This record gives sequence, C-alpha cells and structure tokens, in this order.
Amino acid sequence: MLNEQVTILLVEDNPDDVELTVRALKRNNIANPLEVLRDGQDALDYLFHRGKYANTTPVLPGLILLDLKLPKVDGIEILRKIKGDSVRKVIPVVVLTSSKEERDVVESYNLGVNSYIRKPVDFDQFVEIVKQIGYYWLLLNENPSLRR
Amino acid sequence: MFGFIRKRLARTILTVLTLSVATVMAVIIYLTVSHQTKDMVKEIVLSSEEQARIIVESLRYTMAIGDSPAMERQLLEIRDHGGPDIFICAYDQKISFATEKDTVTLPMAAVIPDRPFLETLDASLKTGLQPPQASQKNIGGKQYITTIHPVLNNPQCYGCHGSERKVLGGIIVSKNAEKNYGAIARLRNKNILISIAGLFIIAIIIYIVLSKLISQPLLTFREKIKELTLKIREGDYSMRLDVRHPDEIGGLILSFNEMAEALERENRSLMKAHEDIAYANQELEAFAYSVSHDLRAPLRGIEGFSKILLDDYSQKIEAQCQHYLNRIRANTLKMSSLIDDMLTLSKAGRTELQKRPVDIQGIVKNALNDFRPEIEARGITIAFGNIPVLDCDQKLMQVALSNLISNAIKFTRNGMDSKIEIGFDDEKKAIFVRDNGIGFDMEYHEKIFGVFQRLHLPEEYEGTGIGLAIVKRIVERHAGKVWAESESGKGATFFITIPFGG
Repeated sequence: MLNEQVTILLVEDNPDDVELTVRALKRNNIANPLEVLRDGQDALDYLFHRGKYANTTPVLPGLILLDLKLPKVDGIEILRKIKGDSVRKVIPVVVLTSSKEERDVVESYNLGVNSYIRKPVDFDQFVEIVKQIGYYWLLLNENPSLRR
Repeated sequence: MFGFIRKRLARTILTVLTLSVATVMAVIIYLTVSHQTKDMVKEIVLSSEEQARIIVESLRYTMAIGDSPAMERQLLEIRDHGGPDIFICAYDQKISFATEKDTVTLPMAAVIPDRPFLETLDASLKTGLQPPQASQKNIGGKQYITTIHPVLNNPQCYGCHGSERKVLGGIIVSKNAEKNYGAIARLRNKNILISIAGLFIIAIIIYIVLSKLISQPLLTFREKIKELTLKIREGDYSMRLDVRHPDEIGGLILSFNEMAEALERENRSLMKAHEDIAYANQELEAFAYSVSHDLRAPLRGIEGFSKILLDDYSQKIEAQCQHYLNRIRANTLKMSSLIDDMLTLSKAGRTELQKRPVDIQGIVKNALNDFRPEIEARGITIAFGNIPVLDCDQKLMQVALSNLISNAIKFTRNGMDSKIEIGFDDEKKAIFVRDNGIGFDMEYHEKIFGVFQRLHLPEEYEGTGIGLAIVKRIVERHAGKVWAESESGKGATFFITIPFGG
C-alpha cells in the first residue's frame, strides 16, 4: 500500500524514543527501509554522502523524522542544511520533538519544515500520529523526490 | 498686557529694577525742581521788597517837604519807567496819590479787593508797624507782590497834619510779577523736560547694564540646562555644567549637577539590576527549555514501555499487575500535564506581553471549539454574550479563558442540565464565565488561585491545581483583576477585568 521503495530517515538520540518510534511504525504496518542516526553530524554525513558515508551508495530518504535536541549538530542546523540545499530541499522533513517551544516552532517554519509535531507522552496518541505522518507523507502526498 | 515682560524672569527683574530706580529719581527731580522754584520766587519777592523800600524812601523825602506836584511828577516818572504800581493812601485807606491817576480818591478796597490784604493794611495803619512780609496776590488774573509801608506822623508834619494822629497813612507798592513768574515757570518746565529725558536715557542705560549682569547669565544658564535635560532624556547622564558663577545661578548649577549625578548613579544601579534580572530570566528561560525537552522524554519511555507490556504480554501477566501498569501510565500522563502547566505558568510570568486589540469573542469561540466533543456529548448549554474588543496579549488571554471554560466544564460534570454562560458584565466591566456546577464555599475564594490549591480529591475532579494560578498570573500581567463569586452547590462565576487601553 505504501510506497515501499523510499527510505525513512529517523534522526533521534534517545534509544527509548528510537524503539518506540520503530514500534509505532510497525504497529501501523509501515515497512519502508528505516535508517536510524543518533547524532546530528552522522545525519549530515549520511545526507550529504561524506565522512563515513562517503563510500556508500548514495541514497536520499523520502521522509525525514527529525528530533531537535541532538548531540554535536542540533536539528535546527540539520534542517537549515537540508532546506538550503537545492537537491535535498524537496525531501519532506517532519520535526518530531519533545517541546513546542515557540522559538523552535517559529524557527523551524522559517526554515521551511514540512510539519512540526510534539511527541506526546501518551503512547497511543504517538502511534496515531506516526500513522498520520506515514499516510500523509508516504502515500497521499505527491513528492518529486519520491519519483527519482 | 505684561505678558511679554513676564515671559522671561530676567526681563521681569530688569523691568522692576529699572522702574524702581526711575521712580526714585523722578521723586528726587520733583523735589529738586520744586525747591528751586520756591527759592526763585523767594528771591523775586526779596528783590521786590528791596525795590519798594528804595522807592518808598525817595517818596518819604518828597512827602516830608510837602510838595504835592513834585510827588505827582515823581510817581509819573516811576510809572513811565515801568516801575511798580504805587498807591499812597490816608489813614482812612482813601487814595491820595497813585501812579494810576484815575484811582485817586478811590478806597484801597477798590484797587486791591483782597480781604486779607485789606485787613493787614488796616492793622498796619492803626499800629504804624510795617508787615514783616510782602504779600503775593492774584489780582485780575495777574500776580502782584505787594508791600505796605505805613507813614508815621512826626514833628515835621505837624504843620499840615496836626499832632493828634500817630499814623498819617501808608504807601502801598504793588509790583506786577507776572513776567518773573512766567520766566520761573518756563525755567521749571525746561528743567522737568531735561530731567525726564535724562531719566529716560539713564533708565535705558540701567536696563542694558543690568541685562548684561542678570539677563545674559540667566539666558546662558537656561541654554545649558536645556542641553543637560535633553541629554538626560536621551539617556546620557554624564554631562555636567561648568560652575563659574559665584551667585545663586552658581548654586543652581551645582544643584543641577548633583541631580544629574544622582540620576546617573540611580540609572547605573537600575541598569545593573536590569542586567541581573535579564540574566536570571535568561537562565530561567534556558532551564524551562531544558525542562520542556528533557523532563518529558523519560515519561514517554515509562508510558510507552508500560503500554507495550500491556499490549504484548497481557496473556502472561496477572490482572492485578495490569492494573498497576495502568496506574503507572495514568501517573505518567499526570506528570506530563504537570510539567506542561508549570511551563505555562512560568511562561505567563516571563514572556513579553504582545498587546493589541483582541477579539475576545473569537478567542472564546476557539476555546469552546477545543472542548466541543465533551460539550456535545454532555449536551451542555452554552450562552454566549457580547464581549468588547480588549487590548491584551492574544495568546495569554486565550490560555486564561480556555482554563476558565475548562474548569466550568469540569465542575458541571456531575450535575444535570449543565449550563455555561460567557459574557461581559457592563456594570463590573468584567468578562465573566458562569457555570451551574458544584461551586465552592466563598471561604476559599482566595485560595483557589494559588498554585497546587485544590478543593476536591483528585479522583473526583482531575487537574493539576495550576490552572487558576495561570489565569491569575496572566490577568495580573495585564494589570487586571480576577475573582470568583460562588456558593457551594450553586455554581460559580469567574470575573476578569483588564484596564481599557492598558
């Protein structure tokens, strides 16, 4: 049902959150390849094929789930790099983070984030949100990056 | 009329000073001139008396030899030479000889009809004593200086006049002093004119000199003060004025300098306090940011994994265990709400107010929308009145009203026919939210706005106990007031006032 060719990139430092997100994806039958990166530098290296990802086959994800509080390089900076890049700016980025601090929301939208969602504490709600994200960005939404 | 003078202090002082000096000088001039005039008149009188005495002496001689034609000739001569009018009268005041011939045989009263003079003459003719002073008379509109010289009887005269009378008659010399008085008046007028002109010039000089001494320094002082206050208004407190005046202006400048110094000191300590507060605020901001990110993450773990346990291992764990897991989940969610509310409370006190005219009705509609599922499910009646546009921070006001509405929904939950009214009380000038719920005892009406203050058990009515504290903080940030009126079991009304235009 979903476009299973595209990779989902999850940038998240908290292992619990990683596990819960994986679980939520599975519960919603979203079986796309999932790349999990634990810090901001890794995420940039992966996206721009450099550092330890310099020699891998270049793959661009079809959806990025991005936490904001990250080691080394924070989520806002990653968002800035993605949206400032002529090729990568078309990748949908969903900020999935703990807070809805005004300045984070404003900054993210200024940089061109596609969605900004606060991770709810209630796991049932979280599962529902992941379902919505998956359906919307992977199925309903027509995205140029998915066609390449 | 004196507006232009009173506009400047210096000018006022100058004018008063100049006028005072001019007045004093005018008085002095008046006294001098009048004194001078008196002296001149006195002199004229004296010289007239002198002239009269000489004339009388020469007439006495003629009189002694009893030569009437010679007397007449002599008088004519005096008249032709422009001398004074002379009347020689007998003891009965009848004129026997005169420079004006047609007055002969007339009584003296006919030529000098002046009562005091006639009385003096009468006395002199009776006693034979000469009056000590000449009299100045106005006769027929002209000034005359008149002297009386009694003619005494003596042995030489006995031949013609007999010896029984002591006084034979009198010689009256009346000098027309009109010319002299005119000259004096002219001289006096000239003096007055010159004095006035001099006074005027002196006044101007005084004004100019004083203006240099008073006005100039005052004007300079004013300019400097202007500059100083302008700088202070612009936030520069460092300027000081030069103290170069040893007078009151110098004292003023000193005071101004002291004031500027005090202001600068005060400003510096204020700036320091402001910086401290800004720093503390920044710290608090950073702290709140961390709290909102990092405190919630473990809660997600606890809640998420509890849920997974329940989902995946429900077959393997006992019902009691499942119950406890659900208790863990409930508490986790409670903790999450607490964090959220604490952050909101903290933010309500910290964030800068973004005031603008806000459509309160729109806000209320939004808030009601958030609760629509429960409102519809329970069939709550909502009465919604007109609320004016108010100057406030839209986001904060939305939070405040939303909390009040949420409370109203919560505390009507156990009653029948729930009704919530939202509107504007014109009398109290307050927005109100009224419910017909359980209400509360007015004894606690202050307490309910405190943080973590609850009037009910948590299992009866859920909530963090922070909601009304948030409302209070938001309203107080707007310099407004919030209060509640209620009666236990009969619903509650919450009022919010926000100063208009404030």
